[in-house]
Amino acid sequence: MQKRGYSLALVLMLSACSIPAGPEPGTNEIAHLRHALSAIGMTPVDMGFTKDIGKPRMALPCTRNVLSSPLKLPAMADDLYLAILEKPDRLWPLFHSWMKTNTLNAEQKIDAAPQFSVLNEPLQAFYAKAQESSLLLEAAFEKLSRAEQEYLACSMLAGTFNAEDYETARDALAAAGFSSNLVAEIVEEGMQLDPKPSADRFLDALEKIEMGALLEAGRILHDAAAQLRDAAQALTNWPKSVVIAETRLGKIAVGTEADDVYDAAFLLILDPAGKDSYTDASAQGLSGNPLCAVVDLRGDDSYAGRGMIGPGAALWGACVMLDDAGNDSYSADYTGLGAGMFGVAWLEDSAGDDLYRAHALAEGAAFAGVGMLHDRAGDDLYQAGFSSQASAGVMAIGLLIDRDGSDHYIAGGREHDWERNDERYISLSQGCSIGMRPFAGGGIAALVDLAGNDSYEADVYGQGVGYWYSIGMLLDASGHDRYSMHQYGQGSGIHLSAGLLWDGRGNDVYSGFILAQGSAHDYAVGMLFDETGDDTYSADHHSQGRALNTAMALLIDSAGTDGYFARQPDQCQGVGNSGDKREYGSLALLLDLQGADWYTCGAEDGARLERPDFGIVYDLKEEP
Amino acid sequence: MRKLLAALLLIASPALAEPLVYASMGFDELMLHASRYGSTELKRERKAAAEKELFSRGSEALEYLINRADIENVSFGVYIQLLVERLPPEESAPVLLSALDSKKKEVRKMAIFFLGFNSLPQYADRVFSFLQKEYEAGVAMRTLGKWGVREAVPDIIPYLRDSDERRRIVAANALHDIGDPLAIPALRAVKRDRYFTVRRAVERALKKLSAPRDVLTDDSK
Repeated sequence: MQKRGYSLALVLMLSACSIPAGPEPGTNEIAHLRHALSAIGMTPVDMGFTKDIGKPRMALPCTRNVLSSPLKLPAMADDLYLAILEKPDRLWPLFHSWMKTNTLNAEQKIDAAPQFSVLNEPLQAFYAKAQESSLLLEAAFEKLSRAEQEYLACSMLAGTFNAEDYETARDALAAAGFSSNLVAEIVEEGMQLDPKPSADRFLDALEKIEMGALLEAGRILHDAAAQLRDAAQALTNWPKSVVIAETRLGKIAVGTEADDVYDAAFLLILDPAGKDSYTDASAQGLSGNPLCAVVDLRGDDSYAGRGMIGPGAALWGACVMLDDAGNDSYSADYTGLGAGMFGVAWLEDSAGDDLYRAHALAEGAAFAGVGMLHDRAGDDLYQAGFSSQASAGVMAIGLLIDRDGSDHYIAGGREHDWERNDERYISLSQGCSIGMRPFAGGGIAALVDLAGNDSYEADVYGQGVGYWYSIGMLLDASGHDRYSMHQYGQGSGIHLSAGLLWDGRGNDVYSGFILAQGSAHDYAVGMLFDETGDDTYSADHHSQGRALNTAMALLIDSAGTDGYFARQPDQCQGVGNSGDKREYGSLALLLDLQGADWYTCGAEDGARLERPDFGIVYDLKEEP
Repeated sequence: MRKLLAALLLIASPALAEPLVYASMGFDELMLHASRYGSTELKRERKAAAEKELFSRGSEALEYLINRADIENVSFGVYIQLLVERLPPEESAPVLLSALDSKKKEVRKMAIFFLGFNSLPQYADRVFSFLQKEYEAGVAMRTLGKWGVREAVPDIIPYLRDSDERRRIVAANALHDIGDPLAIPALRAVKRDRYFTVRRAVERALKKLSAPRDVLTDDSK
């Protein structure tokens, strides 16, 4: 398939170097996909069998399109991948296109910027853009009352952190300004036998957000912070003590080259160097500080938050944190580190070996907004409980981009997966998006790692998984990577949704237990594409190109000597199923296009092994 | 509200929770416990006890559940199925047949679907008219198919060309289950459906219907 809309220079660059071209299957893969389908009496049209049978509110059109046209899933991944490679600024138009929102030019009533005693010119430029962002935020939320905003935020947070069961969560909500009566009301709503009235109440309010204006507010604040960072690099006249200026939009602090401590809410913190400490670097619209920007140029810094709205979080607002150098530590007891909640949050770390640690809704997570964590270099450690590391809920985009280094991603260990895997944990991370079944669709989540030998650990729901009108993706361009999880992931679509895992280069190891490695369940689409390398796939059942309950699954391994191990080979490797009470089949495809490979299902090199209800293992023999 | 919060705190603390008398609970209260996510030990204990009580009430519980099948709470469907599978047909059928007269289309649809879990062709007349109803036609075909009602074949055949792919599949499956060779020409005419889902269902039906009569058993499934 042809790459669309990208510069010839980029395509030439990709073809000339070791960077993989992208997740979209090439002409070779598509040709063999056609052959594989033909071998079982099908054509690519058959992949579009009906899957979009729900009636959710607020489903993003692209989450529906991939159900009827599954190959649009890797095409979307390609758009994202190439935008990241070419220029991250292209991400904003992509977000708008995914959310079907428009860029806005709000009526501007920009006040004259105040005079600053230090660094006047760059700070004035920042302030002018901050005003634009502020006006757009007002436009984004103008249809909502404060009570509605409080209800939405409290409902989402109380549900995420289980305020019913945990007193600590109720205390954290109270400390964040939510009344105990509101928390109790929301807990009571969750105990209703009929969940529709409360879901309608929630979604009716949510629909009032003007997402186009919200995205623009985030983009403009990001631009403002990035321009300030660039301008500040050349500055030398830093103050000897922290200078604070009051503005209509909040305080602006200019730090010193020594170790500074920032423990209050600011509109902007600009700090040149030193081992700095940040404890309240978040945007919280309900508390009167809807905008927050941090630009830190050097030093090993610490960003730590104890409250519900942690560093790098935006609740009813926009937050941008740019850290240009140093081995930094980011931690949040609850949310943060690029968490957009009815808001836009962008955390960018340009260098150093960094540590990210949070509870949930963190590290590139969003609900009704955008959450971005962008790490440009270094060997980084990402830890989170759940709903993190590229996680998206309703009307949301959650991204984690890591450009370089050998990184370690861990998600789980906080909340048990009760009633399904009591001894295991919910992850909902590493490219996981989830909707409010059956009431509302989810969003788009993508973890994109461009280089290094990476290790991904999750438990239940992770590593490129969508649930209910959602899309979850994990894209790893190169390196010898390890993927480990238990259930629902590694390119898995669950309940009318889509999941994709793409790995470009390297000898990779995939391990899972059930519904993993290019699998799909219940009117869903799941895909795993591995381009090169000698790879090992292991699972128990319902994995490796396995489609269950009228779904479509595809695993394509394009090259290398690979091994496909399944403890229950009759339940893996290109197998469909009868659909139980639905009584009709799925479409399951496992294609290996090169190398001497080994399968526990009994397929051999060169196989055209037709599998039950309905699928195939399609293998190309090693060329002599 | 504060009282409620205090009550909730008790729920989260098994040692402080008062024992509940499930036999004296109304169905709503029972279902509240039976349908909760078991995120604490106490919730899981109460869920198990509520389930046990629910099942002990048999057809009375089924009647409560089926008449609330329009609620978008997946637990209701789960417990309806479990009860239909546990109860003898002579106990579940009257409840489900009664639900066919419900004013709620979701209730009627669910009742028709679960009637098909048992062989009850004597009630075909009660289901027949639903073949013409937009909302219930699919489940009506399925149930009449499971009951092997040959009289339904002429009314099912047109659905082989329905615009809804899933309805075409259900029609083919129903014709397969009924096994009347009269449907063969109609099935042959749709062998080239756009989607494999329909084509394979049609092939399966044709395989069974075209088989010699002496082997016209269920082995083609």
